[in-house]
Amino acid sequence: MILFSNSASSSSSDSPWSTAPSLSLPGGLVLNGRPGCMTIRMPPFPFLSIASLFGVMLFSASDALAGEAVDAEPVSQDVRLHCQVIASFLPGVVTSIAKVILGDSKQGQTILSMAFLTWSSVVATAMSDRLMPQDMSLDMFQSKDKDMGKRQLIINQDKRWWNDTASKVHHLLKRILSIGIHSHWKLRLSVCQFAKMLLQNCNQSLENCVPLLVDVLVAHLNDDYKQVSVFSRQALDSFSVIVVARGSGSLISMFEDNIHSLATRLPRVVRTADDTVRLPTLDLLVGYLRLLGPRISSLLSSSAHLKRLSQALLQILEIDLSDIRIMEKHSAVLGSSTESALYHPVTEETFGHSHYRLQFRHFNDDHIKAAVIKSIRLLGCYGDLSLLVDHFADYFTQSSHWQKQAVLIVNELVRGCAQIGLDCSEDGFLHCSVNSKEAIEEHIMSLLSEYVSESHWHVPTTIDTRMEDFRANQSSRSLAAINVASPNGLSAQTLNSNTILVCLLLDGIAGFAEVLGQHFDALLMTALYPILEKLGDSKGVISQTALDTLTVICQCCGYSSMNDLICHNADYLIDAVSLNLRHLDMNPTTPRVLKMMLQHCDKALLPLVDDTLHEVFTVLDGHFDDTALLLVPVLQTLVEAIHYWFPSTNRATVCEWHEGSRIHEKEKVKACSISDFLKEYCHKNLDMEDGEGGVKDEDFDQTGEQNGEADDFPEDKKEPIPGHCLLTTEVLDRCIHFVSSKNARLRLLVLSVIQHGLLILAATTDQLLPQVHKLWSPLVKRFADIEPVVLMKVTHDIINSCWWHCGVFGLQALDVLCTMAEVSGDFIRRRVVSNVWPALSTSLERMNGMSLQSGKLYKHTVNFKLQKTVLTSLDVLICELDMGDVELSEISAAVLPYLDVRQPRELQEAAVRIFKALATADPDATWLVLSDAVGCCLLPPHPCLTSVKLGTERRPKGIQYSGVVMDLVCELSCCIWRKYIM
Amino acid sequence: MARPPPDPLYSLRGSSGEVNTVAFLNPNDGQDQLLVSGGSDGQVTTWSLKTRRPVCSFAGHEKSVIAVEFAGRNRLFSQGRDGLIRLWSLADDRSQHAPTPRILCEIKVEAAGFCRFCLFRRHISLVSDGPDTIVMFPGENETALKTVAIATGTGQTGHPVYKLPVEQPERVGMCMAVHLFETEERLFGAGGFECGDVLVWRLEDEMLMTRVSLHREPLTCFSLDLTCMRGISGAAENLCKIFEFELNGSELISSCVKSFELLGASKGVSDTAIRSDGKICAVGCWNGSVQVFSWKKLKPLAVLTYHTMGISSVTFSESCSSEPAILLAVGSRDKRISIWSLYN
Repeated sequence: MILFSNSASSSSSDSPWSTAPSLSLPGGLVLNGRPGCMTIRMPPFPFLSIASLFGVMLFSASDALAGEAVDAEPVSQDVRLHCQVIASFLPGVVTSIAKVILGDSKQGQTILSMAFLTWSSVVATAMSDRLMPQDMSLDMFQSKDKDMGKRQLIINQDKRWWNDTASKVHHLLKRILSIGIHSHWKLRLSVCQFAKMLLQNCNQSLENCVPLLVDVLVAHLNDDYKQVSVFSRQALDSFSVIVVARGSGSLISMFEDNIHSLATRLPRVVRTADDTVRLPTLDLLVGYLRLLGPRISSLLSSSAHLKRLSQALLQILEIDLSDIRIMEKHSAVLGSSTESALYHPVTEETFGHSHYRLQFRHFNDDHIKAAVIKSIRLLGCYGDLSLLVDHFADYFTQSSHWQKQAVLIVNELVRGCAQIGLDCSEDGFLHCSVNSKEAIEEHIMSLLSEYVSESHWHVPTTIDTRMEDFRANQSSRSLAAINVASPNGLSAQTLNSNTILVCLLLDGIAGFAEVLGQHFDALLMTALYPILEKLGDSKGVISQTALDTLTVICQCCGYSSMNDLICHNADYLIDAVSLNLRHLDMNPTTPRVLKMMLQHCDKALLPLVDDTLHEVFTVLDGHFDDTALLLVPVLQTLVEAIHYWFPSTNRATVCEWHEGSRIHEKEKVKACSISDFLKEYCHKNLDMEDGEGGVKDEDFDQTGEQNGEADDFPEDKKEPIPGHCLLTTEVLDRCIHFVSSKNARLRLLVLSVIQHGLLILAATTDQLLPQVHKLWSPLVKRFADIEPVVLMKVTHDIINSCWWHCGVFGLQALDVLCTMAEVSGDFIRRRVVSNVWPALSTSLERMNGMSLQSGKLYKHTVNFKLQKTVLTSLDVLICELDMGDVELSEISAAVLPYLDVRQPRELQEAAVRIFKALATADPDATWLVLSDAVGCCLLPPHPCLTSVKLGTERRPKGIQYSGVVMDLVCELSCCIWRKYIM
Repeated sequence: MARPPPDPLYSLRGSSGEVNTVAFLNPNDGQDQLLVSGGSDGQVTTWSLKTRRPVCSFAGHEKSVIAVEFAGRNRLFSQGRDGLIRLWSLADDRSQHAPTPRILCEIKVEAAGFCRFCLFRRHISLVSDGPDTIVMFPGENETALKTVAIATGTGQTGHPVYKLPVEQPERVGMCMAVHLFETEERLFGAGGFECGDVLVWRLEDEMLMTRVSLHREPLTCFSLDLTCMRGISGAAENLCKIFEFELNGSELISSCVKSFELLGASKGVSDTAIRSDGKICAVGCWNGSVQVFSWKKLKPLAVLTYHTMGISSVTFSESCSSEPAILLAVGSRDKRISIWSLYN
């Protein structure tokens, strides 16, 4: 004991083997063995030192074993004897250590890991494959060793001994390993080392234990600690190299059997067990596949195996279709919410919120999904791709139930064959994939054409759009008619299933891009158009997935952005678009592609698509009703995009009309205009008297004219009208016809197009005014739509949605009018006065009673919105258009009731703004009206002046005015006093 | 109900000028399938039908290009309104940054006009450096047509040079289209003239063999099918004529056998083409449509409407093992080239 405690103390700080003295005499070993064996029988107190003791003696043995040339010569006699000595103590030692391992669950990891290592070393030394006799019948030691002392101890290693011991060790091993996965990573590492040592040294002698040991390593493959997982992977890999090199059929067939049985129980495990059982089981599958490596292809050539495996995968991967997010719409019903996408073309945030992740029916854990996918990729990596793809294609066609899983699996198989996500860099030997690059490319090509074929790509994911349009044409108020039951008899389940299918197909294409990298460029010809088609899909999930796919393609093919991608491949897209436009009735999704191109690109695209846009115009001209609803959204996107690409610089104020900046300008002008006029008048008169004034004036005029000419000169040359303006003009030309369409949705779309179009044209008056002229009369008719709103509100509450849309519609028309007023100003003044004024003022007058003393809920009604819009737009109209006295007084009369404190706050504020606008336009009249209404008299600024009492009795009764109005009146009074008296 | 007219397989866009002429590379010359087009701005562009994009584009002539033709691997003839026929050496298509093509040879065409040249390629062994291609183009005054032999490998011109004479050149007018053909090992040259006639000479003795009167209006184009010695011609009118030759000993007899009106009111025909398998022929019209007829019975099969402006050129590809489908390429003044696959 004392003898060994020295070495123990010296080595306890380090690995037990490192400082061991070399005791290579067999005789010494025998002596050492016995006390060790005895001590172990009284555990657990001095275990560490005992372990060191064994370490010492094992070291010498294994060292000697390792020191031999590997296979060239048989093991030398000395070493053999050495090991044999250890073998004699084997039963005692291993059972004792096993007891230690299985003993107290609270003992430290150091003791346990030491125990594991010792156990494995003992067994590995005593039962090393290299000691196994070639011919079992020969008794080796009888003649050579004469030392009777040793002979007694050394057991006879014959065939029976090997078999018996192996089965006993197997038994023990099973018990040891039954304690499962440990919490401490160092211990787990030791367990892996334990398994590795046994596998390396005893895979023949302990053939029955190999599955157990492999399971141990495989189970640690996905360990959280890198040291453990890497170690076990390396151990497995080196073992599989041994296996492959030896070609030992029995082992391989054992693995295959294991895989088969795993595949058989896998679906059950995944369905019923909890995550702690599922994950190790899946890890086992992954490990076995990794171990088999290139032999997978021969495994899969057996139809029983293939069938079992594919069934298992298909069943595991059943997809959950009940997720509500699948149903989410991407774009708003009115189709005008494209701006967010337009302004932030590729950023994730715009779509991010609705990002959908595939949900599986039987599990949610990402680790499980990763494990399943890894196993599929391994299959793809080593299996024969054509065999596998054909096999799963069968499932795809067999039933719609398997379709989605089959696509998912094929996607991952393809990814696997390029070793994506298999971290092959660490393995090194994975490169012997059976599929050549050309073969993969060919497979991908045929898969891609299969994916985008009509029958798979265009499965209905929503209620058939063509049907929708058809209904839209039938009833003018189709927006309300959203039937719960799908007209074409597709259940929500089927629609969801189809949606997922499309997403998976898109994901597959992304996978193809990942696999092919730069070579995918050649496939863009086929792939890009369908992807853009899906990018414009109304289902959020689909368009999101399509966006993801495009992002992947950008990365793989080396495009800097989606804009780059689309612009570089615009020729392919445009070709497809223009061909499909020829048969729009058969390709209703074509306009979407064009729309997406416009939405996701910058102005570099415009010259490329010019050709196609003209084709769109031609189609619109040719087929009026049926196609308009499909094509007008394209025009809408076009004008929005142009408006965004070419912000009009000439009239910077265009977009900020509600900021009131213009009002201030005008105020200044008005306030000093009279005094200026007087001054100028006096000045002129003086000049005239001088007699030179005329000449001066003429001079001035002449120079003015010259200046004018100089200014005119470049205009005469007629700068070429920018292309985008011409395009907008053409768009507006088409829109005129649709303003009076029966279809409410179309009318709304068209009005939005017109609004944006006018803003674009604001810079070029020559283009703008004729357009305004042409648009005027159809537009004015739209104001009639305002009235039915009110009528319908009273008569019919049932057709709520209908009148709502009409209301929206009238509002939209007003918006357009405002825009028109901004951009063309005076040009439409007279028309506004004669056509719009009466309609607006009467509707205001009629509605003021409704909003009086209304509650909070009133703010959610259409009437309120209508009033508010009318009031705010009046504000703009007054500023933009130079109105006459009569019109102004009419308006002030109509707006006056809205100054009442009992009116909703927003309306009051809007009314005050109107009066401010009126005050700038005509301060005197406004002051008169207001002071009249409020009933205050004009207080003189100085007591020596008499107060003026205005005697008009037009004061409307029963209006209570707020303080704001009083302030307004006072302000005006001061202004007036200043003007006339000072 | 009749089936809707077919769509093109795809179209080639991006020509800077109007497309005046298109030609396929003979697939036996062993390259990816290529197409060459010549534009009104003098650009000559080769297109890969695999990627559907230009392979290279270069300024071939100072004025508009009226005819292009491949002459074997990496050799290209082009003819411009500047009165020149040029033989180009193209770089191998593999390299991405192809250097600009080189001019190997230049032939001056005295006659001003729109007549396209024609090639006759002898399949002699490539070992000999002698002339392997005969180029025919219109001559001046009494010389109606002229031929020059060229070795396309080096660009050396050589003999034989033939000058095909015509009496009273003012009576036949300008030459509008030419064709060279070989039958019973004798070379013949045919020219279509402004007077609406087709004249045929025997090259070896420069003798006028026959003359067939076809159109009242100036003839614009004609195509020949040597297997049945039949041809189709188009002119500045809405009519096509079918004519036949018969070789009787040393005599060549020609006759107009059929006349038929084109569908739709087209003012004229700009190009005709007969497919190499003799099944269909295509007629490109000034109104932008291409009309397809069966070549045997001349039954109207389809009207291909795609182009928005007049057709300038129609041509069929040749069938080969790698690409069994015969394609039809149509060049138009709307700057597009459309590729069709019909009745394959």
